[in-house]
Amino acid sequence: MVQLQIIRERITWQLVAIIAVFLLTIVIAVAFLLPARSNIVKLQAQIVELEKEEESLNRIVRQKPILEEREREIALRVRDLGAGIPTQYDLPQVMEVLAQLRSFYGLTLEKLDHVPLNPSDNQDGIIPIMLTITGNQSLFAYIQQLQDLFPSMRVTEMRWNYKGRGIYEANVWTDLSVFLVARASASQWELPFLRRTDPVAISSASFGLPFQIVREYFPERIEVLGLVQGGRGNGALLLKEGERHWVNVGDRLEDATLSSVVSDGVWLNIDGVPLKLTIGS
Amino acid sequence: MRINLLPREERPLKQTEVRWEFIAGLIATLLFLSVIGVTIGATVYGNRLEAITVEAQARQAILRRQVQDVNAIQARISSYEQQESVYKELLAEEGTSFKDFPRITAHGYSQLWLESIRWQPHRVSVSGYTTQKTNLSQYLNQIYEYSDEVELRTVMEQPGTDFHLFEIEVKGVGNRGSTTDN
Repeated sequence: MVQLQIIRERITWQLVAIIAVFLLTIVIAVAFLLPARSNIVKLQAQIVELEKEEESLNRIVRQKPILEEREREIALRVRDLGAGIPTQYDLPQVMEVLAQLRSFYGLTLEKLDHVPLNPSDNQDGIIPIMLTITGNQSLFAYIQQLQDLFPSMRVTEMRWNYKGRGIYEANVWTDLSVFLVARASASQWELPFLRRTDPVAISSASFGLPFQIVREYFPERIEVLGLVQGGRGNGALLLKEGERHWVNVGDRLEDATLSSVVSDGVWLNIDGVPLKLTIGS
Repeated sequence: MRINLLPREERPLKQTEVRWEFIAGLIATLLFLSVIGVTIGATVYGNRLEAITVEAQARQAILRRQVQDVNAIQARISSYEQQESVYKELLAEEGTSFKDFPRITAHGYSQLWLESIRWQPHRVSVSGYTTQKTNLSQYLNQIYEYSDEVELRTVMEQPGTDFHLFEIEVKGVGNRGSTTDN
């Protein structure tokens, strides 16, 4: 009882106030300060994380203009490629282009044919096209232009023959790769603009008629019966296939031209190939 | 002589002496004020960080949308690339190009005539005839200057004449030397 009395005497209002302030301080620290501190630590860590993430996102976003440019380029390339490759539905127009183009070069289309495509069997979408065309040296420009107009047309073989008098014949076998599409409306192919390109020089002097034609003028097939020099002009009497022909210099005898008369015979020019026939041989 | 009979705790303090309640109260007050101050500071700082976080999250949301755009562009590019590779497979090979055809035909030898040329990818057959075999040799050398391989397949003399029929096979035309642009 005495001790309780002593304690009661010692607890003054000042002491109570001091204890209350301490307790309040502790309560505030625990209830507000510590959560605020931990929130700060958490937010700081979150900000660091967000900054890292933002940087990596920024890196990706910075590529956008480059990628957009790349997309534009590739889209353009794909559009151009698509515009140059026909579908199976475009075949009639392709054949029409092949036929029309020859008129720009003054050529004669002897034959234009193709193997019909059965889309369910032909998974590769290849249409073989064959054409035979004749004309002067611009024939080569025509064939070259085909490859420009139809980038998917693969020439598998071309036979180039000389027909004489600067005329050539080309037999061309091609494989036209087409897109196999379900509907004609899916075609992106654009009808090419047709025009004449500059002909590439193919010299007819490099070529000669087929040898079997030249052979027709060999001494065993043609005979010189007589020669005339001076007077009204030079000429010769020739016997070919049992028939006599009087030919003056510059005149033609089928594919050959009498180019000159010499003392012992004549010189024939068989479309650029000179051949001497001796009298009596 | 003065005798103070009051108990120690009831005696008045000396002028230089401080009561412990005062010191304890002062410390408690200072501590309280400090805790209040620090708490207010932390709360304000926390709010600022919160605002920064919200801003960063908003920026990130925008960036994520932009990243989605970038991903969409990349997806479109890869789809275009696939389409392009399909198109390219359909394109004709370089080997079928005719750019060297005029070189084969241009020889300039007066006693050599070409009859026909068979042009296939990577292989060319030339047939013709000549009255001077030296012209044929020169022509073979000329072709060899820009081709991988030149082979004189046949050369046949025509009895009783100067004519020789020949057939040449050329591989890899234009693979050597400079090419002609047509």
